[in-house]
Amino acid sequence: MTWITNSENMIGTVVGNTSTDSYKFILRSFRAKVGDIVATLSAIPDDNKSHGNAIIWGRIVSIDRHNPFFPAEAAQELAEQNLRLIDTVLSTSRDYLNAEVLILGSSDEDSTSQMDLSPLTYPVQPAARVINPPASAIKKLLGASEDNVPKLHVGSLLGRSDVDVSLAANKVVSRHLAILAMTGGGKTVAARRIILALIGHGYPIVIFDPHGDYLGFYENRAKLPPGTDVKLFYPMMKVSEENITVVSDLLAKMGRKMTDAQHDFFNKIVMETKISDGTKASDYILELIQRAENTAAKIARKDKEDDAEDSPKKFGATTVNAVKRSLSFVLNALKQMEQNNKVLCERLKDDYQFHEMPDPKRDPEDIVRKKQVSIFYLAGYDHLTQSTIVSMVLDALFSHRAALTNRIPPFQTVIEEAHNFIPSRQEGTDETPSLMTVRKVITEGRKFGTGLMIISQRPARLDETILTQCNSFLVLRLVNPKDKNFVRSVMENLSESDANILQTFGPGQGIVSGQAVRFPLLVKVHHDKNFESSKIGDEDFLKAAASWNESGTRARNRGAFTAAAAPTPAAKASPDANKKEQQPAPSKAARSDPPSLKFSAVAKRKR
Amino acid sequence: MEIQDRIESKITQGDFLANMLRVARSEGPRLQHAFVEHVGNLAEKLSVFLRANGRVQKAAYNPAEFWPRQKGRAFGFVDGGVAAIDLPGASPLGIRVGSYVVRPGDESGEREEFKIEFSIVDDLYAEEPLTFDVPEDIEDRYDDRAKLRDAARIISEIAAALALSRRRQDLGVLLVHGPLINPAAPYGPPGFPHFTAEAAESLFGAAVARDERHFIPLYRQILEQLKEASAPVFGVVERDGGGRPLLERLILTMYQAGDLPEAEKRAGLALLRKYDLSDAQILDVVLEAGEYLTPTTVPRQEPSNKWPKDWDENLKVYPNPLTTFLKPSETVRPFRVETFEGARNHEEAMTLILATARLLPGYGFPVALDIVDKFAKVPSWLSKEIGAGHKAVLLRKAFESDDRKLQEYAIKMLSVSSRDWFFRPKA
Repeated sequence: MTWITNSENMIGTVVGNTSTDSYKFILRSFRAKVGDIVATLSAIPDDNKSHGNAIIWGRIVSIDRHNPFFPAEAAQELAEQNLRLIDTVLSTSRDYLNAEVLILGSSDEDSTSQMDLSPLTYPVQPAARVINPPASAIKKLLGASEDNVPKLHVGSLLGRSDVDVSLAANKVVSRHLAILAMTGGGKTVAARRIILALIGHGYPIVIFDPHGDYLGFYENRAKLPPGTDVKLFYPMMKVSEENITVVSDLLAKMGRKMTDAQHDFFNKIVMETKISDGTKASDYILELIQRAENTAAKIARKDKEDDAEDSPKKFGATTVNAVKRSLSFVLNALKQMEQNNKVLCERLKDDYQFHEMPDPKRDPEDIVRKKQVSIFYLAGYDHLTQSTIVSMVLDALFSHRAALTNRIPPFQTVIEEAHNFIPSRQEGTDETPSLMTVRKVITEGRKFGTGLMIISQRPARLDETILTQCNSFLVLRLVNPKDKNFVRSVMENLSESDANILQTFGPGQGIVSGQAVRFPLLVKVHHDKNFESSKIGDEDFLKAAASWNESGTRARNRGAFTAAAAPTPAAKASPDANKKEQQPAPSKAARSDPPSLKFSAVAKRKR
Repeated sequence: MEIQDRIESKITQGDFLANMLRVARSEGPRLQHAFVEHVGNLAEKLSVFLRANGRVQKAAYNPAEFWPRQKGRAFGFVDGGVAAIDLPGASPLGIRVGSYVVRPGDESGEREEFKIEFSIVDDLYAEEPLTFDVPEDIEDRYDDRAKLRDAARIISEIAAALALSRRRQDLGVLLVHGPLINPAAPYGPPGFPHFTAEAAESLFGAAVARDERHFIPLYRQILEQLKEASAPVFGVVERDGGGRPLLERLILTMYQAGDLPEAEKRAGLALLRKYDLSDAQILDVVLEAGEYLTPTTVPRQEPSNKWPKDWDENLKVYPNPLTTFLKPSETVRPFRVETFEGARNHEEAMTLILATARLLPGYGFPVALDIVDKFAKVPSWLSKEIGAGHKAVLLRKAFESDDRKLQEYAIKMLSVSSRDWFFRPKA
C-alpha cells in the first residue's frame, strides 16, 4: 500500500461536478487548509484506448464552512440575550467544509524518484478520495529530487514547515523576478532571502537601494560565505578622454531634449574644452558653461573678425543659451548630488565605508565581480538623480554584456522601490531615464545574463511592459484593489481565488508563481534576521522627537553664517551678548535685534 | 397586547382571511362588517373563561438564568425523514429516524451525539418485502400503499424514541417531532398486513409474538413502553391539523365535572363551530407570549364507531395524550405539545420547550427539533439519484429484451406522458 491508497491519509471526498481545472470536495474537520497541496487517484485514458490510474495534484484555493444546524435566527437570539451557544441546545459539531481545489496536473502513480507533472486531460472522478500527501511526496513533486539543479531556498510551504520551497536559480537570474507587496508585507525580507541564496552561489549582484534596506549585508558581511565582498557605492560622475560621452549622456538623461543645432554647438564646446582624466563631471560642465558664456558674449559683441567655419556666427544666441541652460540644469543636479555625498559620508562614516562609484563604462569589473555584492546607496538624492544613476550604470553594464566584451560575468540587478524607476505612463515618465534602460535590459537581458529583480509596493504604478517580461513572481500581502487587479492582469496563472487571498497574507506569506517554480505555491518566506540593518530602517522617531533639544540645536547653529559679519551695536555694547543668546531660553529682544538691523541696512541701500 | 389588537394584527393573515371570506359568503353582508367584532367577542369570552378557571399557565422565559441551570443535563430530540421517491413499477420505502442528544454547558467533545436510530429501506412491491408480510395469495396484497408508508413512518419514529430512551438513561427530557400519539384506527382495516418478524423485532427491540406484529398492538406496546421511560417524552407538533379538539374537549371536561352549566356548554361549542376556527387560530389571540393551556387529555382514538372490529379491544386501552398549546412569542402562532398522562415535571419541560423555541425567535419552534429534522431528512439529491438509477435499470432491461413495443412503452413511461404540454399541436 502506498501513501495514495492509505486510508489514514484521507481528508475528504470529491463531490459535485468536476472538470480538468478544478473540483470540490467535502473536507474532514481540521484535516487541511487553504494553500495545502492535495492529491486524488483517478483513472485517465491513455493512447491505447485503455486507462490507468494517475495521481491528480491540486492546491486548495478556498474552503467554505457551513453549519446547516445553526439558523441565523438563533444567532440573533443568542446576541440579544447575551447567551453562549454552548450553554443552549444548539449544535456546533456538524459543520461541513466544502473545499475547492485548483488542479495542478497529474503524475504517474508509480513514479519513484522524480514526479513529472502533465496537464490533466480527463476530469477527476466524483466521489474519489482526497488525500493529504506526506512531505516526502510533496518534496518529490516540487522537484526537490533534482539535486543537480541550482536552487534558491526561499522558505517553506505555507502551513507546512516540513516542505521547503526553492526557486530554480537559473530561471531567476535569466528570466527576471518581481517581488510585489504592500508596505510591511515582507518584500524586503523576501528579496534579502533570495539575494542571500544567490550570494550562496557566488553570483554577482548589483543592488540599487534607495532606503538602505540592504546595508545589513555590509554590516554582517562576516556572516556571508567566505570570499564574499560587499561594496557600498555613492554616486559620482567623472569624465576622461575615454568616456567623454558621459556628459552628453547626462544631458540626454537629465537635461532637456536638444535640437540639431544645439547638439552641434554642444559638440563644438566639448571639442574645445580640454579634459584631464578623473575630472569631476560637475567641474567639467562648469568649464563648458564658461565656454558657452564666452561664446554668448562674442555673439553679443558681433565680432566680425572671426570668420572661421566654426565661428559663433553659425550658432544663434538662442542656441547657445539653450545649451547653457541645459548644462546649468545638469550642473545643479550634480552639485546637489555631491553635496549629498558629502553629508552622507560624514553621517555614516563610523559604520560604513563608502566608495566613490566606479565608472561603469570604463571600470565595470569594479562593480560586477564574482562573489561581490555592489550596493548603490541612493538615499537622499532627488528622483531624477536616482533614476539617472540607475540608467547610466545599468546601461553601461548591459552594454558590456551585450557587446560580449567578456569583461564582466553575468549578474543580477536588484531594483528596490521599482515604481520610482520604471513608472507606468500614467505616473509620468519625463524625468525617469531609467525606464527605457530597464525596458531594454528586461527584454534582451535573458540572452546576456543580466537578470533583474524588481521590488515594489505599488504594482499598479509599474510599467506594464516591464512587469509582463518578468517570468516569475513572488507576491506577498496586497490589499489595494488596483494593485491586485494589476497583478492578476500581468500574472497569467494567478487564479481569482489566489488574487482574493493576497489581502489575507501575514508578513512574509505569499504566493510564488512562474517559471521559477513548477506551479504556484503558497509560501512562508524564511526571515534572515541576521542580515537586517541595525542602523537604518527602524528608527524610533517618537523617541527622537521626545528627546529633541530644540534650543540647544538653535543655539549651536546660531551665528553659523553671521559670525563673520560686523558686530551689532548690541554686541559692541556688551561682549557677552552672544553668550546670552546661547542661553536655553533667550529673551524676545535678544532674538530679534541683530537681523533687523542688517535687513534695514540692505533696504536703505536699495532705496 | 389586547385581544382586539391581536385580532387586528392577524386579520390579514392567510387563515383568518380565508375564514372571514368563507363566513362572509355564507352569512351575508351583515357579518362582513361584524367579523372582527364577533371573533373578538368570542376570543374575549374564551380568554376570560379560561383565565377565570385557571386554565392558562405561563412558562417563564429567562434565558440568562435558565440555560446555565441546565448545565450537565442531557436532552434528546427525535425526528424521522422519508425519501420522496415516485417510481413506475415499484413502491419504494425509505425512512430513517435520527436522534440528537445534547448536553448544554458541556465543553467537551461529548456534548453532542447524532445518531440514526432506525431506518427502513424496502420496496412494498417486492416479492418478499422486509417491512410488511405478504398474504399467501398475492392478489390479496393490501393496496393502499400510502397507508402502509404512513404506518411505517409513524411507528418507526416512536420506536426510535423508545430506542433512544433505553440507550440514554441520562436524558432529562425527550422531545419527538410530531404528535406523540397518532390515531391508530386508520391502520387497522381488514387486510392491513402485519409487520414481518424481523421488522417488528427491530422496532420493538425484542421479539414480538405473531399476533402482536400488527400496527395497532405493536404501536400501543411501544407507546406504553415509552410512557414508562425514565425521561418524560413530549411530542411537539409543528403544523396543526386543524379542528378544535382541545377547546371542545376542555368545555366538555368542565361540563362533565359540573363546572359549566349545560346552556353555557352548548353556547360555547356553538360559538366555536360558528366561526370554524382551529384551536391554534383561536389560541393565537387568546394566549400571550409564554402562555399555554393547562394540559387536557384528548381521546386520540375517537370516534369509537369507526374502530375496526378486530382491534376495538386494543384501541379501547390505547394511551391518550395530555395536550396543550404553547405560544412561544407574541408574533408566532402557538404549537401543540403532547405528552403521556401522568407525565412528571410537566412545567419544567414546558419551560425547556419554550426556551428552545425562543432560540428561533422568528419561527417559534424548538430549535433542537429543527436540528434533528435537518439531520434525519433524506436529501432530495439522494431521492433523485435513486429514481434516476431505477429508471436507467428499467430502460436497460427493456432494451435488452429486443421487444420493440416493450421498449416504446418503457420510454413513454419514463419520459413524458402523451398528455404533456410538450405534445400539444403547434400552430
